[in-house]
Amino acid sequence: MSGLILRMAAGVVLLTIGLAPAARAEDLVIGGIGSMTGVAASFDRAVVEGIQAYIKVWNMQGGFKGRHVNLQLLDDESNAATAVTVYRKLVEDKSVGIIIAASPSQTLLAIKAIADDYRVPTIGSATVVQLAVPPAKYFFRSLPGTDAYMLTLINWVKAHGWMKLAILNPSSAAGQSEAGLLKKDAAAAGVQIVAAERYNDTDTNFTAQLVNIRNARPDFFYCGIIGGPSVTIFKQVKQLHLTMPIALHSSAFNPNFYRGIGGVKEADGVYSPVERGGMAGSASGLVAKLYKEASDAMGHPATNLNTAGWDTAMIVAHAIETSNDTRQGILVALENTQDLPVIGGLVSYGPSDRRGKDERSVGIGRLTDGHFVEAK
Amino acid sequence: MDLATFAQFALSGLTTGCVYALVAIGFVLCANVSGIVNFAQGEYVMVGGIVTAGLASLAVPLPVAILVAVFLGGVFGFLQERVTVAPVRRAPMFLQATVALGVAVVIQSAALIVWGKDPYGLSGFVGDDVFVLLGAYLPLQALFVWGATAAFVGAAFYLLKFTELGRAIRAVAINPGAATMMGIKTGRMSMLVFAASGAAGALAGVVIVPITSASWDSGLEFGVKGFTGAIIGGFHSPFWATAAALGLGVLESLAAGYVSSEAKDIVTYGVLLAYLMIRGGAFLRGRRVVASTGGH
Repeated sequence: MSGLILRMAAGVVLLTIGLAPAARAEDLVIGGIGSMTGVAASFDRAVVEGIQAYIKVWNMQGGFKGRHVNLQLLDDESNAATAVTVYRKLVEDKSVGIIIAASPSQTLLAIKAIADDYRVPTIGSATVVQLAVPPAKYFFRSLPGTDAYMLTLINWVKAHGWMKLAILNPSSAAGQSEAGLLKKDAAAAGVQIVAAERYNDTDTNFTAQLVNIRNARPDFFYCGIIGGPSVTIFKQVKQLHLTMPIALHSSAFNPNFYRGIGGVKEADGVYSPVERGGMAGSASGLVAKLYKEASDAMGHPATNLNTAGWDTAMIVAHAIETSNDTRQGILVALENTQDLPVIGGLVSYGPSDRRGKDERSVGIGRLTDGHFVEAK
Repeated sequence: MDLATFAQFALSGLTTGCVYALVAIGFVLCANVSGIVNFAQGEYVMVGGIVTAGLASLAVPLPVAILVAVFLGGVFGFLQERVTVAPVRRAPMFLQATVALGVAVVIQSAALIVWGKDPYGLSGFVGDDVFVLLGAYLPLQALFVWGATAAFVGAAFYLLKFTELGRAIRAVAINPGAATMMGIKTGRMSMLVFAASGAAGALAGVVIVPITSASWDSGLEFGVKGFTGAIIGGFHSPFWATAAALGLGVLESLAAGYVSSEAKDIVTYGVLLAYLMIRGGAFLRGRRVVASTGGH
């Protein structure tokens, strides 16, 4: 029994100290923060898998100028306070030239708030607008912002001649931020929002919101679903005979969602604004080549979360390869990155631009047999 | 206001209200027999739902999964009474309430460890089709929710009104000291009521999980709403608590539909506050009973 307790304690210590072996002196060290345990782990482990796959391929191709590339990954336990603690630990390690953070937006906002104090280039894979606006000198975002997703959705809806839109968003700050962007973009595009409903994550009955949406007779319905209620909302949409085309937030689509709604086929035809990396399985050219490389490295078809991690690592590699391998040099290299092709599109930064990918990296996917294909 | 829309709001609210009612009955029975407000009551809904859906996902036949879930709810209720209620029966009320809250947190945390954070869904017992009533589309599963609630409330009514055991439970609720002198084993009544309340909560979880899914934290919402129903019902009669909880479910849905989804909780809790301020005596009456049974 005491042996078991000792092993468990050792496991906890290892998780706290790091998930990777210590770097050798000659290694190129990249700091890493990921939500490997806790509520965000189901998303961010997949992002980290993509990061690790890229670094594996990088090392197989000789690493950085013959040096082995070592990802020094620490677990933030899906907790912003822990993330700040492990971030400080990483920046104190002088061998760390850049830090990759695969954590939820709220956690990354906490890191962004202190990044300029420590002056280590840091790149985070999340979507909230505030990660890049206003910009922090040392913090970069690798995914398109929520504004890019919403603008793409509104433009696509308008292009189909659907001028009446209904929206249902969580009442959380992130959900209402998304709703605000939709209202702004819809007004600019001349699309009318005929119903704007909201829900709490703890709600169990969405009939009232969905009936109001049905009664408003929209041409199109977007549901900004994040987390638990996605299954319930989707089933109630069907039961209440909401027959208009529907788009869900991309975070809804995971194995639990498919299991809960009765199988992948049940969601066939549902739309979602997704990063192009999530539709790369049906792409061609350079994107297809990169996607195949990522999938081969992971041993399975890369998901949109995997490609998000892969792309982030690609950006970091590009910055290191084009720099003098110092923190300041990597910062300048990142700022000089222009239209770098990755699986999810093109990445650009500038002296005061920390957005990375813009709306060019977002498309509207239509779910077909559990995979997104670009919607016409 | 068209009838179909009104019926849609009211009947779907009634379905949710049924779950609140089963939780509210548990609150009232436990409080009156043991003197403890069992804040873990909502967690039994989560246990019932997540165990049923979890077992079903492992290809366990649905009837077996349902029986196991309800049985587990009863066992957990029994264990809660033996491990955390009996030892603090003579403690101050705030301590008893804190212990009950602690039990709720432990059950939630254990569910998070065992089942993970993702919600568990389940198809309706007879599929996910709908039926139409007064122009409202309702899942067939709603019939199971209504039926289970009616059956449990009916059984509770019969038990409390027409059986020796029911009379013994009521005697303990009214005056535990006198009940003891009459040879009634108050501790045994408390065990029985906690086990029945646990099973009732789990039953609620079993029948609602095809409509709402279940996750480690889904008991909180049902617990809070069931508690609210119990308060509005006076915290004294299981049947008034049932009526209040059903009304709460309907009111909540009507508020979300006719006022706005943003104002749903404002309306619901606003009505509760107004009720408590106008009818303060209703809660006081319940509290007197709870206090009087706390010292046996």
